[in-house]
Amino acid sequence: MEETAIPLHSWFWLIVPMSIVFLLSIVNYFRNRCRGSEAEQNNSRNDAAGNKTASGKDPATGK
Amino acid sequence: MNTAAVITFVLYLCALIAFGIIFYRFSETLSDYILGGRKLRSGVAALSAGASDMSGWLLLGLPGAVYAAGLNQIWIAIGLSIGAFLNWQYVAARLRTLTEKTGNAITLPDYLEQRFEDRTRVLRIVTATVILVFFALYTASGLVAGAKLFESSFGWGYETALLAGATVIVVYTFLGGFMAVSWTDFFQGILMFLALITAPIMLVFFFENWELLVAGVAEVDASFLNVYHEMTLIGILSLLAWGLGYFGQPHILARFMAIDSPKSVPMAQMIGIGWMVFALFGAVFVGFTGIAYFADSPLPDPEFVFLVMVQELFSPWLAGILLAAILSAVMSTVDSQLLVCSSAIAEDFYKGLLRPAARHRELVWVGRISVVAVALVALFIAWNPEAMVLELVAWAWAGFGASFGPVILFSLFWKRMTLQGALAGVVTGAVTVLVWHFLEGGWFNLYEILPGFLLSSAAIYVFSTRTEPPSASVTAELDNM
Repeated sequence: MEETAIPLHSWFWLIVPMSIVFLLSIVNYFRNRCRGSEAEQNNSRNDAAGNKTASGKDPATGK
Repeated sequence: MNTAAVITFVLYLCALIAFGIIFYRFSETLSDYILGGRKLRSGVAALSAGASDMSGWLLLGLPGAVYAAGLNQIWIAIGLSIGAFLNWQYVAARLRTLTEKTGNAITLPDYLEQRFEDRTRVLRIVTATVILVFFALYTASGLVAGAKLFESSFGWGYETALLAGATVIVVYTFLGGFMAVSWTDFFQGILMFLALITAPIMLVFFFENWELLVAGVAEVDASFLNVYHEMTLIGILSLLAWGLGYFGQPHILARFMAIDSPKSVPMAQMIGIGWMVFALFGAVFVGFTGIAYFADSPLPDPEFVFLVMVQELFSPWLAGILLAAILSAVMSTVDSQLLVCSSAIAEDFYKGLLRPAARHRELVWVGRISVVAVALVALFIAWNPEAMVLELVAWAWAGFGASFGPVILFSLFWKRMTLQGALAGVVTGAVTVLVWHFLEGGWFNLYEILPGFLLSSAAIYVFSTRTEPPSASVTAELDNM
């Protein structure tokens, strides 16, 4: 059993940092996706409310 | 080698050339030819960045190192994973945006010149020269590795193998430019990934259970199971420091600049990092199992552990595909480096210094001719198989990482950085790597990228803060980020 305890500990050093960077990449992707859809929703709401985009400009006139 | 494997492999090479022919008509401007007109999809950007980064090291070097020395070699895989993640996280989107905003720069020297409004052209000349010199050597080392693989797999002579490998790479790079290179790298990345996923699965079935595998490794040498065996702090730091190299590798940064939108970066990052961690894990696992697998008849050349295992474990057809994966790994790096050299000649020297008014078609053809010219120089260097070019890979990686890495990072985030700071950073990084390489003993055994990176960063800070602040037009782009 002792022989397997060492390699499991060794593999741990490889698996943990790699899993962390992969998970962070996944979280980053979904966070950006949520931000993107929020921005789109805001734009639609603004359009419906007064034909203004999130930047405050009228999409028709650009002013 | 058997007929099935040869047929599979020849079909693969024909497919590569077909990519060059397909993308030939899409290269109308130099931007198309060396940056794909910035239309690279996230998946292609991710896998082509990974494949062109890893080179033959992923399927030969890393499994070979673990097979020869055990699990203490994993530190480099950890360093690379973290470095690649940080590069995607902090550099990719900003570099994509800024290179487009600063006069639609299509090469790194072009970007740096425009970012610092350098009218003297010194920064462009210095950085383009560094790229040309280091990549000619780097490309030559890739050709040597590829030729040795051809030689051992097909039994050809070294020169024949070298010419055959170089011809295929040059043909599809010459014809299709960046898009052909990126799409071939994409499929090469998939092949490498499949190879590094299927081989460990087959090996798990072969050994039946984990305890049996570990006992087999321990029987050869119990110290192979220990990540700290014969590792000093300097040794661990040196292996981890490889990750710093990512910030300055022109062939990887070109993928960031070519991605279709900064919004595509998070998706590309997820795919790229996923590809990388599974591939690195697979490579380490193959080397680890190789210790037990070849316990009775150790391999004379540890780097061939994956190649020999594939030939023994898989059917000839599958072995042919997996062999193609190994050569893919080598080719995907060589083609990208050839193209970066070509861009340095066509954009930075020819258009930037000699003929600013050159037409699009003219520049594309200068780019194409440059691919052939650089390949010929690399072939000349690689002609002698005993040349020490393979040893130059670590040195070239450190050279780019230390001279370009800090400059790129500071240029993306620090408004106060000046032209003098950028020049001082490039020169200090390059000189430190060059000098440190020849020093020995104690802390001088540290991999040169770490002192090079730190001293280059210090030089950028000192020279930037002691010279005139950059003009408002220079800092305005960063304000809008």
